[in-house]
This record gives sequence, C-alpha cells and structure tokens, in this order.
Amino acid sequence: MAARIRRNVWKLDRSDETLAWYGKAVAALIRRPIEDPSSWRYLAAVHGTPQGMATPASARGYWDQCQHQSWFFLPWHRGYLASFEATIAKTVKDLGGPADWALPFWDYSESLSTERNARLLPSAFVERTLGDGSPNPLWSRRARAPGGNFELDDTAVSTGALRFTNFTNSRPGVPSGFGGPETGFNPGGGDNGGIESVPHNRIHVKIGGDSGFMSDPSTAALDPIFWLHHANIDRLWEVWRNQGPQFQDPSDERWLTSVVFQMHDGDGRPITFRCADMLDTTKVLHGYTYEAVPVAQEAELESVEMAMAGGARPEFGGESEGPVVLTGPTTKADVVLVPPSGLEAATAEPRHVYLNLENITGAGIPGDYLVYIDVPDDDQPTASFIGVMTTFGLERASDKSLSHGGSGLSQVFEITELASQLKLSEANVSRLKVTFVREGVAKADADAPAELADYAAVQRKPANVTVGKISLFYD
Amino acid sequence: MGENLSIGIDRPLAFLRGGVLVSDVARFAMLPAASAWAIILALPFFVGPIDVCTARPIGEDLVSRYLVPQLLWILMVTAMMVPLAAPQIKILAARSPTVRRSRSVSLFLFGFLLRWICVGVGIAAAADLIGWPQSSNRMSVSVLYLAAATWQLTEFKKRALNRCHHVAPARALGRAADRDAMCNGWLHGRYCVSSCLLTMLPVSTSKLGPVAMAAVFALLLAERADHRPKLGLSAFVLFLLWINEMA
Repeated sequence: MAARIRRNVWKLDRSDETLAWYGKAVAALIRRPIEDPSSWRYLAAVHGTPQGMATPASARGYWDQCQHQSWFFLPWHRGYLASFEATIAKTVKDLGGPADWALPFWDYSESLSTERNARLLPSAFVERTLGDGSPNPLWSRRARAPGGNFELDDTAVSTGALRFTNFTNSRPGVPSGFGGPETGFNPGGGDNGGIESVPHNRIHVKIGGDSGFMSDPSTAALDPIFWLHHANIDRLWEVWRNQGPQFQDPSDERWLTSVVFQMHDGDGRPITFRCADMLDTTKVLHGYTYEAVPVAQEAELESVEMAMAGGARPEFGGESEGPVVLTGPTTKADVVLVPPSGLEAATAEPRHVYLNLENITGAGIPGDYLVYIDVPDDDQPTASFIGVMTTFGLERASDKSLSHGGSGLSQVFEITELASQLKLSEANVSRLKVTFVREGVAKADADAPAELADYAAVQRKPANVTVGKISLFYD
Repeated sequence: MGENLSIGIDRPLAFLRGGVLVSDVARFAMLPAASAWAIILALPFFVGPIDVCTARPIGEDLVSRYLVPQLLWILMVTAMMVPLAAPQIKILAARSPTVRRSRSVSLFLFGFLLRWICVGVGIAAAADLIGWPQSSNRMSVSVLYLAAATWQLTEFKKRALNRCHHVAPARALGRAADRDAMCNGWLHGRYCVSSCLLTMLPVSTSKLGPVAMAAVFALLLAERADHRPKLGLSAFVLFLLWINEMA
C-alpha cells in the first residue's frame, strides 16, 4: 500500500471528509473501555495519566511513556503518532470510510499572507455540537476562544528553532539544539530542545488555557487537536532535515538503538521501535509522507551556530542572588556578573553568551513568561525581549516522586547580540536585570466531553513558579 | 567527546563514555571511589585478615572499637556511594566558575559523606547496644538479606530511588556557594541513604567481603542508570547472594 499523505488541515477542500471521518473514529474510540489499547483513553494514557490514576498491570510499560526535554522527544512522538494514525485509520475503514485515511497537520506557523486562517483552530474543532445537534467529537476542553482564535502571536508560532544546525547538545549552559538534550529514557524534566519549546510548548498552553486538557502532558492527548498539533511538529522535523546537509539527526548509537519504546499497532498488537526505525517516514509502521514539506523561506538561512560537543567548556559569567519566585504580572531579578575567569575566557570577546534559567519548579498551569534583559545602571533602560520561558509540563517536572527527582524544567536563551550591545563582558557592568512578564492563561471551559468528564473533575493546584537560579555562561 | 550533561535524568552510565578521563566525574567521583576500592582490596595484604566491609569493632581498645570501624565504613561508602552521585557532581562542577570548581565539589562530597558517616556512627551506636550481627549467625544474616530484598520490591524504594535523581540549584559565588554545595551534598546524602542503606546492610555482615560489596555496588549502579530499574531482579540477585552466604 502506498504511504499515506498527511495534508495541511487548512488546505483541505470543503468536500474533503478527512475530519468528518476523524470525528466518527474519535466517537467510536471514546466509547471503548480504557483497558482496550485502541480506546481513546488508553491512547491518551500512553502519553500520560493524571496523578492518582492507577496503571493496570497489562498497561505497565505502555502508559506514561511520553518523552519530553529529551533527544527522544521527536522520534518517540513520531512512533506515537503512527500508532494513533493506524488505530484511527483502521476504525475509519471499519466504519466504511476510505482505506487511506491519514492524519492532517495544523500548520499554525504558515504565513498569514498565504493562509489567513492559519492561526485559527480548524473550524471542525470549534463547535460543541454538529449540525444535527449531536455532540461534536472533535470539540474538547480548551481555553475559551471565540471562533477558534487563541490569539497565537508570532512568539507562539515561531519556527526559529529550524535555525539550529545541531539536533542535540549536552554541554552545560548552552541550548539543547533542535531536538533536545541527550538523556536516557526521559519522561520530563530538564531543558527543552528548540522545537519542543516553541512552537510545541507554547501551542499546548495557548490551546489548553488554565485547565484545558492540552495544558497538561497527563491529559493533553485527550484533545483531538493534540494529534494535528504533533503532526505539525513531526512535519517540522522533516522540514528541518530538508534544509541542507548540515541538518543531521544524531548518529550516536545511544540515540539510534539503545532505547526501545513500546506501543500498539492499529490492530492492538504490541510493537516496539527504536529511534533508528523513525528516520524514514515511509517506513514508520504503515508509512506516510507530508504534503509539500517546504524548504526554508530564507535563501540563505542564518543558522544558529552552536558549539558542538567537544568544544571548550562554557565559562560561568554570573548568577542571581537566590531563587526567583515569580509573583504577579511582572517579576524582576538581578544577575550579578563576574568577568569570565577560566581558560575558556582567553579570547577578549565571547563568541556566545547564554542566559540560563535553572530548576524552574512549580505547580498548576501558570502560563508562559516573556523574558527581557536590561542593564539596571543604564541611563536609559530599555529592556530587550530575549524569548519565552515555557512552562508546559512544569508540575510533572517538579514532582519529586517521579523518576527525574523533581528537578524541574530549565531553559537557555542565546543573548550574544544583546550582550554585546549591553557590554556585559566588560568589567564596569556588574549587574544584569532580568524581567519576567507573565503572559497569563486564558480561562478554559468548565466542562468536557461527557465521556471524559472525570478527567475534568480533577482539581488543579494554584499556579506558582520559582526559578531556582538565573545564570550566565560565556562560550 | 563532550560531556554528557542534562538537568533531567542524567544517568551515571553516561560516565562510561569516551573522554571521561579528563572530565569532572573522573576527577571528583571516580578517582576517590577507585582509590577506596584499591585500599579495600589491598588492606588484607598489609594488615592481615580484616573485615573491611563493616562498621563493626575489630578490638576492645578505643581505636579498634570506634575509629578503625568508622574509617572502614568511610572507605566502603566512598567506594560504593560516591560514583552514584556522579550526575550531581557533574552538574555542580559544570555550573561552577573554573576557579571554584574543586572547592564546590569537595564541599558537596563532604556534605554527602558526612551524612553517611553519621549513619555509620548511628549503626555502630545501635549495634553497640543490641549487639553486632555475626556473619556466622545465619538468622541475623538472613534477616538482613530478607529486609534488603523486600525493600527492593516496595513502592518506598522506588520513590526513594527517584529522589536520587534530583538536582538542586546551587549558587556559584561566595559563601552562598560553599553553603549550597555542602547542603546539597548533605541533602543528596539523605536521598542516597534512604534508597541504599537497607541494601548495604547485608554487606556489613557478609563473609563474602569485597565480592558482596562489588555485587551490591553493581546493583545500585544499575538501578540508578535505568529509568525502568529492574528492582525485582535486584531482589533476586540479593537472594543469590544470600544463598552463597548460607553455602
């Protein structure tokens, strides 16, 4: 059978029935008991389960397996999507639909000049009921967004991560590349790869709001839009690889073959896979391709030149005076700067400067934070935006009982250009001011699809966030 | 090769990678542990037969009764426990200024070992009161093995093990850096004691000496290295060790 073709959801013809069949299949899966590997709730539990939900013995090793803050993020989710797509496709076929059903993707990053609706939730997902008054299976518990407008701004849909030339990076103090940091099997905690941070994390929290399914990894996959969102992230991996020969997946056996993941195929039979099995989409389970994987828009893409493993150790350049508790809409913290002192500081001007947010812990769904830097003793303070601190998965990453020990999330921003403008590496600049502006989260609908009401009943903890330490590294 | 470091689950097996000889882990974790192993293995050749794996008295005078056992205990925990703290040591070293790196890691190790020393003193004090279990006493040896194997199968063990992957933030400058490094070592020592102590206790009565030490060390290292630790297998290995003890 030819590989399925995943299409842009906003480019589907009016007469196209892909989403109609998706809705019918979702309705069928949602009625199945949770013990059934092809049920909606089982498939969602593979990604994560709410605290307190017991894992049946038969599901051990299958539930709570999502890989986040890890170089396994992309390949694991690729296998997960394929498993899901196979299940939906089989159900569609069983219901009398087409045999080649494929999961569409939602390209919210597409230029508004070519698709003015790109940032709107596809209309089939917006309304609670269908034309005949029956419940819409594609509706879910999300942030309230009239007309499907979740106000996705440029910071939420940015594909700046495509500029990373390295897939991973494990050197301390520097960003983790496009795909994420080197880890073992990792269910969360640590720093995100570029693509995971934005747009992945941003979209999750924007869609989920303060208590919607998408805001929490343990419920995210209950929302039918989750799968279109992840199909887009998966597509962006293909886009990244297609940019040129320097955009390479890891060749390390520890990534390719050392970790085995397990799921079920469309018939509910157990399957296993490694990252090496995920490199060619036409050979992933039933095989698929993406419609029009575009090459980068820029003729000469300015890549984020990363110091690859094997380079010199980044040198410490400053830190906050203690943990920073983010309260209220704006929180400011000072970073005490020290001149680079190690051998690595031999060159007068650092090649790269990185701001690290370490041990970000907390609870609830606080939403994301816009981060700005400035020099406090500057005569004309003009804080400059350096990026977004995303908090998707915060509570899970802070849970000390889980296998990462609750160290929390971390985030790294490259601020080389700004650091040069602010003359941070010069001895007369002693402090850097970091400002966190809480973006806030939209209120989510109180109710959920009837079959999933028990998930919505879980009380969320009040939101709080603490950044364990802010530090600066020179490279 | 660069260093493998991440804040999330940074598994100790990563230090088996190339380039490790020049890394912080080699300097700060592997070197002291290897030295402790060397002393433990060499000691019987210099001082004659000695039970190197215990905190038990080896004589009646003050030195033999208290000091030597504690020194042996420190050797044992340095050999077995310090490598398990490799991820925390790596991260602390990486996030410290070059000029403070050795100082911060040394303070971390001091806090970490201090926790284990306190435990050793506690064990010695308790055993002084109730009597040391003898390796010839099959009942007491069996009870310790049974407790260790049972512990491996409990949910408490799993939670304690998870906490061993915690990496606390530490400041890098001034007295605050010294305090944080030592406190983090002390804290990590607590997590490590919670997870490993019961598994360590049978070693203290074992007539297998360094062989039992090496076997338990391998178990503890493997369970730290694996996201899905096979704690049932650990319990089975302890059972096999017990069989060997009884033979």
